[in-house]
Amino acid sequence: MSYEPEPHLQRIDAIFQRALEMPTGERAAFVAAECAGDDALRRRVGRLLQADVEARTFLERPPADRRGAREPGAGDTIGRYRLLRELGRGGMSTVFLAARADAPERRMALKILHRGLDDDETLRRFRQERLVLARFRHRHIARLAGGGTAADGRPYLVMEYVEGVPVDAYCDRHRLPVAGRLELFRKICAAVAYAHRHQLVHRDLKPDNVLVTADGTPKLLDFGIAKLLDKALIDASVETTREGIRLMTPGYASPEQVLGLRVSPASDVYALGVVLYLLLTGRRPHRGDGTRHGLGVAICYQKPEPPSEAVTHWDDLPDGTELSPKAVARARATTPRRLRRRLAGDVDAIVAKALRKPPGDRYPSAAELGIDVTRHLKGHPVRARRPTLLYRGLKLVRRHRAVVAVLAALVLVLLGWGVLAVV
Amino acid sequence: MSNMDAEERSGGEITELLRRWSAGQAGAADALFPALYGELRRIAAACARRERADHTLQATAIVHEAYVRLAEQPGIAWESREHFLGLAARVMRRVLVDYARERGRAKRGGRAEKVELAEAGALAQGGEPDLIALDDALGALGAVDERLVRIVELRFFAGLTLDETARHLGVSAMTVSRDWRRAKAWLYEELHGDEL
Repeated sequence: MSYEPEPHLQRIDAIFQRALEMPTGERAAFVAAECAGDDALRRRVGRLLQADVEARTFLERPPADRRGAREPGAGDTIGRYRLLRELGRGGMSTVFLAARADAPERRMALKILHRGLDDDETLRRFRQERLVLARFRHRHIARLAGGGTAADGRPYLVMEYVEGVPVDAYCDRHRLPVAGRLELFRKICAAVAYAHRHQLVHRDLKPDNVLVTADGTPKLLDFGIAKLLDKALIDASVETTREGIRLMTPGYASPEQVLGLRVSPASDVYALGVVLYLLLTGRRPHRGDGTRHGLGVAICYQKPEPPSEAVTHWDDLPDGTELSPKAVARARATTPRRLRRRLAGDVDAIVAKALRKPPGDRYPSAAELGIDVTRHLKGHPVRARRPTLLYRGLKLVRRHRAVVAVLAALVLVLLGWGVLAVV
Repeated sequence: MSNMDAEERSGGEITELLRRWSAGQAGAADALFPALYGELRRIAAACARRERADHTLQATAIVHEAYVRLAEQPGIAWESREHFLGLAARVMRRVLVDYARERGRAKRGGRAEKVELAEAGALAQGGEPDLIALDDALGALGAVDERLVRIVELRFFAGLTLDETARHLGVSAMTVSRDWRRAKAWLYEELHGDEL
């Protein structure tokens, strides 16, 4: 079958091609200008752009390839690993507890991508990221042990298996006071900072990805994996971005992620801010009206309540349970009043700075956030607050209570001498 | 075994045609197409017998197996593996679309065709696009840009990667990536236009 080229089709194709090359936001205006006065043409190009979005996985699987139709399960073998049981299933992948065939006692976590995410482009990125991750060595980041391609063509990663509980559950279970929580959080920041120094943004930080082992060591999971998976987000299409948001955890997404804008280390800082908020108050800063859209709007436009105020009132948690100020305080080994006072000031300021809407207004990196938390723990002035003389003076006084007391006494004594001398 | 003889005979014939084709002889490609078609179907049938019934064949695997068999033949000046695969991709498209048609006929219970059902069944796809409709849509795509059709044949029907496709067409992987996206959008619009 051979068709003569139709000039009309070439024209549609030319406009479509050029529209594809520009940022999503500019496409509509461009197409409208190019098709001025020709509604049918504009609609056709619009349909092609829409098709481009929806055709992401279309034709990416060779025909007649049904070999992987069955999802892997316990007992199956992938590469050198035998799957023992399913550990979890996310929007993008399934994680299994696995053992190496030649070393059955060594437990690993094997993560395999869901179908449809294994197009060429993803596979290429996957390999690249694996190389980066393989070089990662940090005691608070789960180590990447290897990976490969399963028989059905899907890539998988093998990681250190971390036996631990999500950081929020760990803190509550051990009734960690605010200082203990901040101490743990500081270590998490250090791990994220290490990744940022290696030009890797996590993109999906949440308690489920921050486990704490029995000896209290935090371990970050899934570094860089989110990036592999939401590459569609970067394809700069609002529609795909919405699709991508469905893939990620909306409760921890930053405004720029909700809006599909550029993701940077500041996006991780934001997610860390949400985690910190949760550790301190038992709830997340935004809930919206319960819908995904409402949550997105709240994340982008609503100012979160300061933690010190959040802990003073009741709240409904997403799982339907109620959160009382008393229970929150008890889990932090304190009373509601003390908890409020503990959070007011420095901690409120640190959380607010991590959660600012414009990425540029937040801490520039996880390192800075961690340093500010450390400053607070040591009683130094935090960067999140305006450095007024009074604030710095008070900090100085609190830090050196004994010295100040002695000095004050000395001054009084000297004054006393003076008075006596005058008399 | 007579079966073996047939295979060897066809192998020799294809080799001869390939030799002429790679020497640039006029009309060689036209003769090569049906010969290669038979060869690919034979490989598919052999694979279908080997595999368990619930196992589906991979078109890619068949094309590559054909290449491995033929590449070992002496006397052929291969420009490249991609050179062969480009031709095989076009043939594979035909093979797969024909299987889809035969399967459709067998399902409707019409005149019992002498179809190797196991073979057709194993190659038919589940859930993926309707190959017959796709074949028609590819015809229409040719009116937009013939190269897009080639890319779909190479990427989808022969299962070549972006890089292999780029080498075959002598363009950059970037170009293939862009064109592939374009082709997919056009085909998707053609097949699902009323849902957009």
